[in-house]
Amino acid sequence: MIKILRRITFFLFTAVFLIGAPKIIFYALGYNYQLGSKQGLTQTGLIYLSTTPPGATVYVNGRRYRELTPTVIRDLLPGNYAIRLSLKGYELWSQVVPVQEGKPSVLGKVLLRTQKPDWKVRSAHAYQAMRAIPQTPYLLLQPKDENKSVHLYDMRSREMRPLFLDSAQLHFSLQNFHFVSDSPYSVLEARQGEQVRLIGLDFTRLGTKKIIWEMPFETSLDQILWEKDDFKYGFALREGVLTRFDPQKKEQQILPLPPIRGFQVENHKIFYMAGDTFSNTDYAAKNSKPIWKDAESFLGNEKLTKIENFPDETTLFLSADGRFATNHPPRLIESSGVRGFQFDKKNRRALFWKDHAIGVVHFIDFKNEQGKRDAEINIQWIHQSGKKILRAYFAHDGAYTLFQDQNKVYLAELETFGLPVTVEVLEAQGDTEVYYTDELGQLFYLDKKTGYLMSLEIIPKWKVLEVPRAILEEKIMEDKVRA
Amino acid sequence: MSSFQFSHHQLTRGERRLERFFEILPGLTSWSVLIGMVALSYFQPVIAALAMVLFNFYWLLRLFYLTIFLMMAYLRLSLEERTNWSERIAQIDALRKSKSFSNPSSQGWKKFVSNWIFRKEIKKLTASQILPPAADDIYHLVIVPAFKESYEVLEPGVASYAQGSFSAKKILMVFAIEDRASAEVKKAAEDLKKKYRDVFFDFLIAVHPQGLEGEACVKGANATYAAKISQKFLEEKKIPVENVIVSCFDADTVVSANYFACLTYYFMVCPNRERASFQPIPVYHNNIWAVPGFARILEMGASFFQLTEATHPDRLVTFSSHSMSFKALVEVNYWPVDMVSDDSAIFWKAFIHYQGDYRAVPMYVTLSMDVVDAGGWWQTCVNVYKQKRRWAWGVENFPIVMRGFLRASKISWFERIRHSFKLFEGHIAWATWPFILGVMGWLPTFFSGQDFSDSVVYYTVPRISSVIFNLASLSLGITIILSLSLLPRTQVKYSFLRRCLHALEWLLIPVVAIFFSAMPALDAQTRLMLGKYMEFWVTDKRR
Repeated sequence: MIKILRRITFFLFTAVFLIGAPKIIFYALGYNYQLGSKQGLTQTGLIYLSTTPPGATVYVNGRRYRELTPTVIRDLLPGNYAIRLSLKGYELWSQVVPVQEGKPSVLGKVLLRTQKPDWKVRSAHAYQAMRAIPQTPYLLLQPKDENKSVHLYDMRSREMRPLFLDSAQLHFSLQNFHFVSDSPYSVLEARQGEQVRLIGLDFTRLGTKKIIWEMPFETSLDQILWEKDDFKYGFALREGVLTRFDPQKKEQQILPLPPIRGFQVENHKIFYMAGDTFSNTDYAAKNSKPIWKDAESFLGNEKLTKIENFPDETTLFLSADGRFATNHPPRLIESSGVRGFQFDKKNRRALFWKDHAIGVVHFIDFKNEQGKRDAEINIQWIHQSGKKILRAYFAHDGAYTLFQDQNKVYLAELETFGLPVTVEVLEAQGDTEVYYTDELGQLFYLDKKTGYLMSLEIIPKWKVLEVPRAILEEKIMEDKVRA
Repeated sequence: MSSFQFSHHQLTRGERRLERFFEILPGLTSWSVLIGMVALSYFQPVIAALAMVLFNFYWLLRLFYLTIFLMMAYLRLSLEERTNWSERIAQIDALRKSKSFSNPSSQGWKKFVSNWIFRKEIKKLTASQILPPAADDIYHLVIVPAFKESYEVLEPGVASYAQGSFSAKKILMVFAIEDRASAEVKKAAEDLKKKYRDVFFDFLIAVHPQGLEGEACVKGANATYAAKISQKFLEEKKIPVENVIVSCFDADTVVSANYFACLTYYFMVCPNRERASFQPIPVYHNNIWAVPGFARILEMGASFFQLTEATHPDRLVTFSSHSMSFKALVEVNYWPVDMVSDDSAIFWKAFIHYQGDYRAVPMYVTLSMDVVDAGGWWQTCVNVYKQKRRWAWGVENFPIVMRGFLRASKISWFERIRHSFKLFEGHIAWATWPFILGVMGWLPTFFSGQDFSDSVVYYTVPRISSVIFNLASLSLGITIILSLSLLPRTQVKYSFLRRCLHALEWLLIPVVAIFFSAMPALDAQTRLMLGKYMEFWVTDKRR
């Protein structure tokens, strides 16, 4: 009997597989059998919706969808769908989303803005200026009281302390700070009488140990760069002359290069622009190799304030007169007025800003005629009615941009099917810098009225167990400000 | 009868080449499947994702199919739990004498179904007109090969053979001890002999000399030596081999009280008893609560696999401790003396020898063994891995069986293909399915480029897979319930709590299946593919 039962079950299951398998494949590919006037097999599309925070109610063309976010709305015939998201305590979000057959329309990082902004007071003193040290958790703060030394704020531990514990260490005035992306080191340029002193700082160290070297220099410098995780050598540019210095041996050597307009140091190579040729060379500048020529045609002949190499052989150039260019054709991205840029390695795109506008340049890979990998560029303008845009940041994994226009900070959507919606987030003190880090999801700024260091939660992160002392200090500070 | 030599050794050049081809085939196929899936996920993620979801669907149906028959097998096991096998033996004896059969009384549905099955078996027996020997004339030969097991490990097994419902006076107990075994092991055997000699028909100790020609360091060589000595003994006692049932047990095997009665019944009721092996349901209850959770669910899984297999006698192959006709054992020239997997190899040896006229008869009775326990958690992990690799080394049967099938012209092509496919597919599934289900499913997403993430498949496939895995949890739920029912009801500390924890332990199954099932199987197949042959590794047993 078991044998018969086995046989029946076997044939039954085989039949289920033979019927079910094609159905599953059709379903996976988005095919759906339509009844009515459009009877037949139609390929549908879908909308993927994910919000921060999750759990929002979804309305499709005004009808409530059965699932909360994150969700996939399937079996949608090609067309436009009005999507509305609603979550208690958060602003309503809506957008018209187009759906194509066989394609997903993805809104994977919708940020729902809270109705009660979560701002926190982070200092007990007032400051007149703030400067972030990129890729480190530190902010440098200049107190309103000129007699007080510069403060260093750790955004992770929320601790504020003087940059130098012993003020006697500094018998000179601060001129400039030099940073390198992703490097824990920084160089402080100070003046002592006629002489310039360079002070090397390692921000992974604590207190006075931060100072890792000091050395005199004859003149002030336009630019100082080094390898991001090794400070064996530093490279200083002054009026087209590149000097290599060894901070441990206190040695300096002018490199035998033609007058250069800008440079970058990476992977034990110096990349530099001299005249209209972009080249690389070793640390001793003995073996120069031109990479490409004809730079003047699109970069002019001004100094280059920033050269950045990124993965996938993308280099970005910014000239002093605001020309923004890349090594990929057609090379010139924007012919004037660009103030700065930020690269999104994950999505291969760059955010750049001018006084009145913000744009995103996308690099789309392709293979050129020689079979080598190259990239096309595609520019998307986000905001074109700014007054004086000072800086911009990618936020929420590149789905948004936060930018500072004069003393106001705005949040603009990048992941959108319509025109990017821009909303004002806050007003900061004067033209002082604001700083945003996606890691903490917080925007740091100086309060417009008090000058206190403040933070505003932009992206809600998982709450970690906070140290009671820090909470207590926060509470005291908040009470103070409220008072 | 076939003159086929069931061995890897002393082959002609042509046979050796054929053997190598079939040795390479399983490992090569498993690696090709795994590497192929990785490559497909990288180069064609959409096709890989669709293939994966189809595989998941196929696996779900196989899982449901197995679960249905697992439940049926469990039901049958519980039906026969209280069967009075001695009474049934007496009824068959009566049938021999008077050619008449009195219907047994049925009280309760379990008994009713059990008796209905019994009547059907009797009907088959009488139809065959091959009546069995009288129960009084049937003897059991129990061979227990031992190498490093202590008295504490050996004693419970011997006691269980002695104290069963079947008369121990019909059991010839033989300890097969390796000559290279320690003095302590030899002394343990002697002590047991002193203690139990009078209980059994007799108690022999066969000391297997090391380095006999053609032998490898494997359990089969030791058991074969003991079987040959036993044969001489039985000849002296004038006991015909066709009346003897031989059981070759692992040293830690403890049988249930009605094991030998049940075995005698199945031997008697089976018309082809001289060409049959008798496969009980192995469980690993001896120390089930003393081992880490992963080892517990792994062995429960092995028991369930065997339970499911029991519902498919046409394809059943012997595994671990089992019994068979001694006449068949003698005729096929005993167990292979150069193979590690003697338990399944003896079935295939007999199957090819008798040109397909050989079968494994499922017995709905349990015998219990030890779960690997090396004391510490890590060492237990290592030993469990080695034990599973040894089990998976059963793949060594594949090349020999394939060679044998090519020459076994009396076995129908259908039978040959059916058995070959099952053997081959079983080993490939063992080595690859946990990887495909646990790891490969993520690869298309992991490698996904813009093209894949811009397709509907990227979003629909995880959804379908999640529905499939949710449905599969139904099977998991049934498995958990059955595993709790099958566990011994002996008193353990915090029994209820430990049973609840055991239910949760089943959630470890995806990880356990990869590390202690698929990996050892892939390891064994790779060794065979590369010609790095394994020898017997004795599992640690502790009390």
